[in-house]
Amino acid sequence: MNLAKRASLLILPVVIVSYAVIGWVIYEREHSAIEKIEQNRLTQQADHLKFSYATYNNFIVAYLTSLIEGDALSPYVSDSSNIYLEKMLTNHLKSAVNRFEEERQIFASLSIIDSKNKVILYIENSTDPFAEIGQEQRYLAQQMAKLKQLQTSQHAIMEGTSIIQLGTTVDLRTLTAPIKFEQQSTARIVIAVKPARYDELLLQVKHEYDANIRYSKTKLTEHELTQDFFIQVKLSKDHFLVIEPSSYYLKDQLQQIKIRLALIILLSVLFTFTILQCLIRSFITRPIELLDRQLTDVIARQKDNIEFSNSQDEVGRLGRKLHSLYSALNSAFQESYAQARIDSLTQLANRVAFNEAAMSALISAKKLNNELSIVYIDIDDFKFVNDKYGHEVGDDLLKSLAKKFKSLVPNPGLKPNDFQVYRLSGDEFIILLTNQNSQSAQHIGSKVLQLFTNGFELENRRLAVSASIGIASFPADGMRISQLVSNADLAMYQAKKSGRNRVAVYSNELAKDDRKLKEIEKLLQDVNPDKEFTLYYMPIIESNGEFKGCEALLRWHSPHIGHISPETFIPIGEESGVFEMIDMWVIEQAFKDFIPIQQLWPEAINISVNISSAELNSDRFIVQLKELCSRYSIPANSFTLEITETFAMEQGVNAIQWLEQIRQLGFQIAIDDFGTGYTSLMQMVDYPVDIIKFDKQLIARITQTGREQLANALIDLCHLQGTTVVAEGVETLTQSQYLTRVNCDFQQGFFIAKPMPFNKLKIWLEKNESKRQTTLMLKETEKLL
Amino acid sequence: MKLVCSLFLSVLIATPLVHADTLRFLNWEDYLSNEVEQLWQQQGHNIDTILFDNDQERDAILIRAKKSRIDVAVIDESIGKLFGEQGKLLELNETNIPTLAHIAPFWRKRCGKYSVPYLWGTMGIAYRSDVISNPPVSWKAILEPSNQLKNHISMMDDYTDMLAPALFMQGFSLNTESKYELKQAFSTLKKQAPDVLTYDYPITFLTNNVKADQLYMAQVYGGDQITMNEKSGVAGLWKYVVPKEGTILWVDCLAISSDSENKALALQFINFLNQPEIAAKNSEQLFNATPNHSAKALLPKDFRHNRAIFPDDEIMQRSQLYQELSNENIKLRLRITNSIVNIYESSEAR
Repeated sequence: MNLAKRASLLILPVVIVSYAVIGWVIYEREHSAIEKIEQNRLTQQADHLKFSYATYNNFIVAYLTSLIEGDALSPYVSDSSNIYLEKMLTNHLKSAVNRFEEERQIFASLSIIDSKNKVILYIENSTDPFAEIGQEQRYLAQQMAKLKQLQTSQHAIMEGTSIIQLGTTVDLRTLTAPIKFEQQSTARIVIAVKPARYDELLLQVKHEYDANIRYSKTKLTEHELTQDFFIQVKLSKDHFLVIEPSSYYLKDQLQQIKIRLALIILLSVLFTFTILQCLIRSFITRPIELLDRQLTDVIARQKDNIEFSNSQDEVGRLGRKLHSLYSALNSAFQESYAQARIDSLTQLANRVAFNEAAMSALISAKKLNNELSIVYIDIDDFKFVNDKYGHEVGDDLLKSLAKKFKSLVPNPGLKPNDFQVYRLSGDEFIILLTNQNSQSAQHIGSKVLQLFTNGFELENRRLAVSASIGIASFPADGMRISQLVSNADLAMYQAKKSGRNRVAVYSNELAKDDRKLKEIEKLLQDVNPDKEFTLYYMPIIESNGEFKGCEALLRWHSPHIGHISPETFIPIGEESGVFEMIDMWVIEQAFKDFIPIQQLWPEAINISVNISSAELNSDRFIVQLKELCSRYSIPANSFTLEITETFAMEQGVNAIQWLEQIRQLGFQIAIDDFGTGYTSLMQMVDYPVDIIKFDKQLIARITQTGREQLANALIDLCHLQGTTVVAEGVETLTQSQYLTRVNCDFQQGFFIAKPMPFNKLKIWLEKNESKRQTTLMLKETEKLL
Repeated sequence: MKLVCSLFLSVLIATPLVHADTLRFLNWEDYLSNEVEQLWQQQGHNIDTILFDNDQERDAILIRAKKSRIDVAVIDESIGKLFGEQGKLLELNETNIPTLAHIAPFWRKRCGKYSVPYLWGTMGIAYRSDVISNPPVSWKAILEPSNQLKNHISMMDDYTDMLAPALFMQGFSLNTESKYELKQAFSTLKKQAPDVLTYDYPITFLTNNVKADQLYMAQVYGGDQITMNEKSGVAGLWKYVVPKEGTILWVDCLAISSDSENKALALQFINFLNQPEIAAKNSEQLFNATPNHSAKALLPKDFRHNRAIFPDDEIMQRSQLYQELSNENIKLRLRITNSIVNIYESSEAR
């Protein structure tokens, strides 16, 4: 829930409750005010009624007075035969009424009823000439006679119409109050008026209040009334008017107020709520949202920092604090960020920095359709420097290399970021070349190589290190940095493999070869040696041609990719660590084959087995070797273990001891491929070696014409050391004879025999023996001749 | 009200003229031949005429005859008996008025003991011949006036005469005592009232009122058309008809107030008027029929045969005579006419 919503939810109930309370207070006040107002109004209405009634009453009294005390009635009563007097009285009544009420015709009547209740005179103010005296007047007169009343007033209601009557008893002869009521001359004068105005008012009140109208002779006490809201007024003596409005009247009024108040409150709540919401939005939550948005932008690095707020409120202060906090954090971050990207030893940028720089360079290259190249440098034999001269020298070397690499590239035309040297790890460096193709990368690569001509000079010391360099370029060699790096790495590896101190450019073939090697490596991991491996034997003969043994050579036929040459898979085996298994299998198989081979040839034989130079110093190898010896109970002295020259020489004192241990088991040690490396013969003096096997190239070199003495010297030197010499790669009769002449102990090669499976060995042996015997006989024959 | 005022005014003005041989004569306007009056004056007597234009007015004056010192009055046949019995009038006979011998007994009887016949006639409709082309034949013409005549008619304000056309139209008796029939007449008159121009007698109205030229049709006594034509100044403008439903045969009587201080002169005056040559002169000049058979014989032949003066037998047969009414009936009729005038006045006020 966001702040604005929360604020709304908090405000709404408060607003509602506040207005409800205000509404309630107003209602309470209105309630009593309305009761008061209504009571006052009712009182006023009642006063009007009272006044109106009194007016009519006064009229009657005044009219009666004018009748009796004026001259109007006396002529009539004294001369009742005068027909015109009635008209005069009618006119008198009419003028009295007209004086009283000018605007309307009101009903008024005058009746004179004699002692026998006979109507002597009846006139009324109307246009109905046939009008007759009403029942009320007769009744009033009768009542008066009965009760012997002198004067009485009455308020009768006939069918909703009021009649106010005033009756007075007179002696017709004198028009004064009679002394004796029983006299014949006693008559009652009854004046009746219909108080139209009063009736109208009353009807109006009745309708307005839906009121109950009552008349009472006495003032009503409270329990005679049905409610609090009422009014009673005295209309005349012993005549009270009681108005009791309907109980709904006040309720309706209050109900209306309730509804109006509720409506006003509802509107006010809505209005206030909306206004408050707007205000809160624009003055409270919006600044926060703004701050939030700025922070989001800052986090997304679309902004350096939030804007510095000048506002004095909390949000402004918060903004300022965040601003300074972020500034501090950012500078700390920038510092550590930089540190995290600098290699402390060389002061070069590191792998992290490389990845970032490369990523952005790639993006811009993609955008601008530019090229991009990576030069991957690996220092060959750096480990050797470390081992030989110690880590300080190693570190100094790295520092010096970094400087040199950097100095290689100062090109004022390039921007600082166009080019950068990074140290990836240990002895691996990378040069990122933005906007440069493979060719210019190769140019840089060759410049790097030039640094290593005749090793690298460090503090007057020349260190035997070189560089293997791989190059990969965007877009040809990959679309992603990781891909480019791994391809450059692959090229570098290729350079290393193909002899170090060179530049290799990544290519599809290279990748293909690599993939094939990878596949071989995988197949080798899963190899079933008993099914896929076989041992071929290459016979080794004495100079006299006599079979002296053979070299066991491993052949691998994979069911997936067929025959794979040992030159291909042996290095892979060494790298991937399966060499141990391979060596052991070869040794074991050779052990197994020993007895059958011995059975083929009655003389003492020796079988050579190549072991990986990676086995050097391996204690486990010795243990396993012992174990195999005891299992197959073979004579160890019938076996020779061959180790390549290069590796053998590189090892130190430990290697010598390790070789010595093997010799003590009874095995002979042979240095294989002698002549391919840089090892001098003198270097091998210290080595406990029984046999030296001259490489095919060396044999080719020393068997050239005129090299006989050199060959002699070499072989003699070996003999002096007590080592036997085996010539490898003997391919011609000439070579063979030559080697015999220079006292080479043993020979092997295609001239003698190609490697062959065990089952072909017997045939070869027989052939070779017969050939030897023939040669021998020929020789002896020559001697004899 | 206006009537009462004018009445008092005329009484006050008349008072200083009265002296011993002056006869105070209460009479309708133009109801005594000038020639006859001159002949009477030649005998050394004076006449002070007080005019009235309706019966009630006259009756009211007569009731207070002493105050107004009335000597001789022209009264109607019904009131003579009433007032006579109340002792307001002097009993008249051939002893104190020898010329009564010339009066036909039919008419003598009608005027009764306390008065003697003066002139007789009919009641009908006078109409403006220049406005109304077709002479009215029925009382309906005036009682239910056409749009053309609305607010152009006049009715008599008299408790018998006002009711008469309505009663005739409905075929009721002039002197009916039936409240129902009176009610019917009242309702006809009530309906008519708003369309009435005036209840003043036409002669008075034509004399005094600014709206005189608005009057096209009027309820009148036969002979009054002569006076009306004189008032208009156009001979033959007003014409007189007796409607087919019949009419009243009225007779005006002469009476002497019992309060009169000139009784001898009064008797002499009535005796003078009944002399045949005087009566004939009076009749001829006033265009009224005379009850004096000696006088009638003296009248020119064409006058005697004028149907507007001496109606033919058919109308005579359908005509009705005033009869004595009960006090109660009079009072009711008074109330009715009073109401009609009130209704008229209130509608005028609107």
